[in-house]
Amino acid sequence: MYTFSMQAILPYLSALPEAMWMTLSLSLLTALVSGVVGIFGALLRRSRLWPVRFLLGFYVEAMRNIPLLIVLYLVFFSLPALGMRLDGYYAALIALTLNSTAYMIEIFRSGLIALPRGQFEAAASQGLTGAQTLRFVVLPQILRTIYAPLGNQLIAIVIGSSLASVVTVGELTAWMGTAGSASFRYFEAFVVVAIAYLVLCQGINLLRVITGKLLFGRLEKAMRQ
Amino acid sequence: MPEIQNAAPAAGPILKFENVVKRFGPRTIIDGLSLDVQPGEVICFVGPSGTGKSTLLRCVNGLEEIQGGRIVFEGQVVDAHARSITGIRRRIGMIFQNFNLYPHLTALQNVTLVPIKVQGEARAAAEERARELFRKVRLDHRADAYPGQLSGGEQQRVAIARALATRPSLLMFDEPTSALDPETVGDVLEVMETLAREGRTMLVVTHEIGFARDVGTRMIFMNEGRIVEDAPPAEMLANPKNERTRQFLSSISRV
Amino acid sequence: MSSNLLQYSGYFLNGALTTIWISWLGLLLGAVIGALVALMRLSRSRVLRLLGLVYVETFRSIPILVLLFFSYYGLALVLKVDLSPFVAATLSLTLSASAMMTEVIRAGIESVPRGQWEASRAAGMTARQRWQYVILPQAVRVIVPPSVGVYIMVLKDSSLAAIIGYVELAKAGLLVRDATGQNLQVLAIVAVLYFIINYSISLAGSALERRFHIA
Repeated sequence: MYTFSMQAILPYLSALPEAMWMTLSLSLLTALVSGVVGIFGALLRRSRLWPVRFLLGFYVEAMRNIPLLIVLYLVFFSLPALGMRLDGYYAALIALTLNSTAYMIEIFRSGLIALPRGQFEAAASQGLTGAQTLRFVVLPQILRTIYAPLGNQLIAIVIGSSLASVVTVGELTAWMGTAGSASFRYFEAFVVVAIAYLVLCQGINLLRVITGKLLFGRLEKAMRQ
Repeated sequence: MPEIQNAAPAAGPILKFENVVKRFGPRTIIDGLSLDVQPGEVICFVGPSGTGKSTLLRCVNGLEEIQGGRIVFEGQVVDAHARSITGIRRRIGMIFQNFNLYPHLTALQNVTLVPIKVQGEARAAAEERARELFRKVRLDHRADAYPGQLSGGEQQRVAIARALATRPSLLMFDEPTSALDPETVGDVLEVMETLAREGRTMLVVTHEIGFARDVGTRMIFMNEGRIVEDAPPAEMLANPKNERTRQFLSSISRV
Repeated sequence: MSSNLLQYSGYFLNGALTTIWISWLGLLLGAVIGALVALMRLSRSRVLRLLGLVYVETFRSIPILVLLFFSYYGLALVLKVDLSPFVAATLSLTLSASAMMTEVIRAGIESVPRGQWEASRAAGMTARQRWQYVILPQAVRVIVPPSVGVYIMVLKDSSLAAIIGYVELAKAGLLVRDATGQNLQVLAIVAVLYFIINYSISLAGSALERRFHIA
């Protein structure tokens, strides 16, 4: 009979906050960069130039169909060829961002598609510049329609960041590997890491619900009438 | 010397179309059209649908680019892709068939967005002026409603207030009452009439012949991208010179 | 591609077939569990609904890699048996797929209008007949198209089985790389193969969806 003993992994818990921070920082950076690039990617997918549309469409399809692990390996082993140091953290950050950007482009695109053309025309006829249209007219409207898929994408990023352990980044999953193999207490280490991921992901869920209620709840009702 | 506001530059036309050509792919929508618009004119464009009336307005503020000729607004050539277009657009107020209000902003915020966020006016001053505009369009009690809570006629009057907020020297109405319930059409036309009486320069694409007759200073009948007839409304309605004009006018008066 | 790599095409092909097969297995088992959990989520019992929700959120939040580590190293210690990489990979993919399939199946069942339940009950059908003749035929049309998306997710996730040494497409690639030393070339080939497999599946999925729409 297996005896469950948290005692056995206690010595390793001191390294947990750093691992958690690694997961968080990777995820936040990825979310930030891919979110911003995603907005512009989505706008460029509507470009008048077909080569631009084609290239972006191809990029999105590639990232949606190739496993993140393969992208990560490709980036990791390409770094030296590009004259950069073989650094797991940057490789993971780049691979995660490449992957997430594709999904962000699609999320923002779906928001843009739902926005009537008249909104762009009204903004243009009022003399708003492209940036002003984006800031005052487009984003406030599409963020309401896409904040649910955006939340899902944030969760996907957190989960995807577990792959950084493959290129020796000391985040949560790597901590599980280290603590598990050193103590031979994989089960206990699993429970700890599973709870950590649950807390992170459910935290995002909670944040999403609260943002939705606070920012958009009242307005949504008024807009729908 | 006292400063003269809104002085028309050298009393010339405020807007000139010179041999304007607009094509969509192989189709020619506007076919070498020339026209001068003097300050204070209220020009009503009539004609069968699909003859380029709306497109003509959309070329003026660069929502569409033209393929030939040129459009000159207040001495400035309109180029849809030049940086100067945003400045031109702020001096032209446009009212759309479908209102195109910003649904995430209240009526008041719709009106003050550009003055506050773009032109850097103080909030209090911009809102005071917006309230004034709401009184003008007879909506002072609805300023804090969202567009979704307003009727079509009310939305269109908010859109007019929004267009006026940037102090434009030209107003363009693109079928402003076509999407409205019949009972709200009158309110919008009334507001437009008030604006015309103030001496504003207006281009109006409309099927409201009554409005054209009572308010318009000039009526232009267009067909297949050309001006077929251009006359004072009373004259054209009483005595259309062209056969196409006569057919069209009798076809709509029968409805 | 150098001729050097061409001689390994058998490896790539076997790896690809293994990837397709184990993902299919994970999807299928995941759908079975997902159907049960979906019924829990739709149950009248509050406890069952909550349990279903906890199940879905748990396996939605835990990365596959963590599940793989756990089932390969952890379960072996707990159960005192050695799990093969195949069993560990199938288990992990199944658990993750089941969470996704629960939501897909739940949405499918919920898409059947209330009136259909009432009408079939009024017609005197037994519960079994109701499901067989009325509910499922309608729900399946809503369930199948997004299941194709889940399959592609599982297929991409299955590449992580390479980390515990299960020889599917990614691991086959890594083995060829180790044998040839042609790192980036091999990875590029693997990437293209995944792309071809997944893109074909998604094209087939859209075709399926169109047919369902018309019918």
